Amino acid sequence: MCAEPFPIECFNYSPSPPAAGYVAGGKEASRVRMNTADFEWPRRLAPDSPDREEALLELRLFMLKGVRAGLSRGPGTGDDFLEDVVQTAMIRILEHLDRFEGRSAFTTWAIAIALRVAFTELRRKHWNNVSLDELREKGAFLRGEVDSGPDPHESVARHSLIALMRQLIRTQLSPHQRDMLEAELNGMPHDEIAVQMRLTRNAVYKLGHDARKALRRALEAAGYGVEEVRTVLEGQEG
Amino acid sequence: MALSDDQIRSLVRALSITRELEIDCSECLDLVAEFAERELAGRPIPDALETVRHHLTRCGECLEEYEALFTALKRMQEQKENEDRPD
Repeated sequence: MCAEPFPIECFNYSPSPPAAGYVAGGKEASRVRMNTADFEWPRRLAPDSPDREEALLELRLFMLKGVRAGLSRGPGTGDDFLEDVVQTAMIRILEHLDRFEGRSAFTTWAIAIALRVAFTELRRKHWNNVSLDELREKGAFLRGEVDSGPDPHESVARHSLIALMRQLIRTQLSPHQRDMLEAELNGMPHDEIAVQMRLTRNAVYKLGHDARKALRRALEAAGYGVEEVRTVLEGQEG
Repeated sequence: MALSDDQIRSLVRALSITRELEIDCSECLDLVAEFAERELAGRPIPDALETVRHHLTRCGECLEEYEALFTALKRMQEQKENEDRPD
């Protein structure tokens, strides 16, 4: 019977008593919650642990259960796919055991990693045949009113702000930042942008973040607050 | 480059929630398990984890993964409760 106040932690397997000398606490208040099972997982999975094989088997089954429960049964998510996902996730987990800080149940952390592996692979398959260049060549980036002039039903303020945004995108961003934003706004996931730009997913996020900050600053330098621009563009003015 | 008007609007919406400091996808992954457990249990989200909530509003991929994790935890919890229920 699990005595923890948070039911999710009941999923943890607790093979042995608490480790002697373990003192809960530290900088992160949430670390206090780390229960025996969470503490035991990294030890059991260590290369020299006598319990390693048993722990690997348990974790594999747990991740399979979690990924299956988290993914809707869509195309390409059959048992072979799930097995591959868990295998890849297991390698990552074993390589990064030191990143587990006890903020959550160990198994929740592991399932989160497995789901990232699963979605990354599903997105890769979905976008496999679409390149940034192809999107550009097909004009996907050029949809809309590039040279169409003001819509008579559109306010002058709205039209001039859209023109200003286009100018700032052109003048304030690097080519990489523009490419990233274009791809993102056309629905391409960061995983795939990363592959095509030969970056990591983190680097893609940072590229986008830096671009957004640059545009915010440029708008402010031009005398506009972002909220004001948003209100006008969404037609809520007046 | 020229984006459609709708894309410009989407971009401005993104600018409006842009913060000077944001966590990236790896940092989100480090924290999202705790975030999901807290959300599932209805426990308060501490300030340190609000960065996760914000990241999820900006990153569609991390949001998709978080939603799947939440679903998985919820289903597994329900399954466990059913198993524990006395006949």
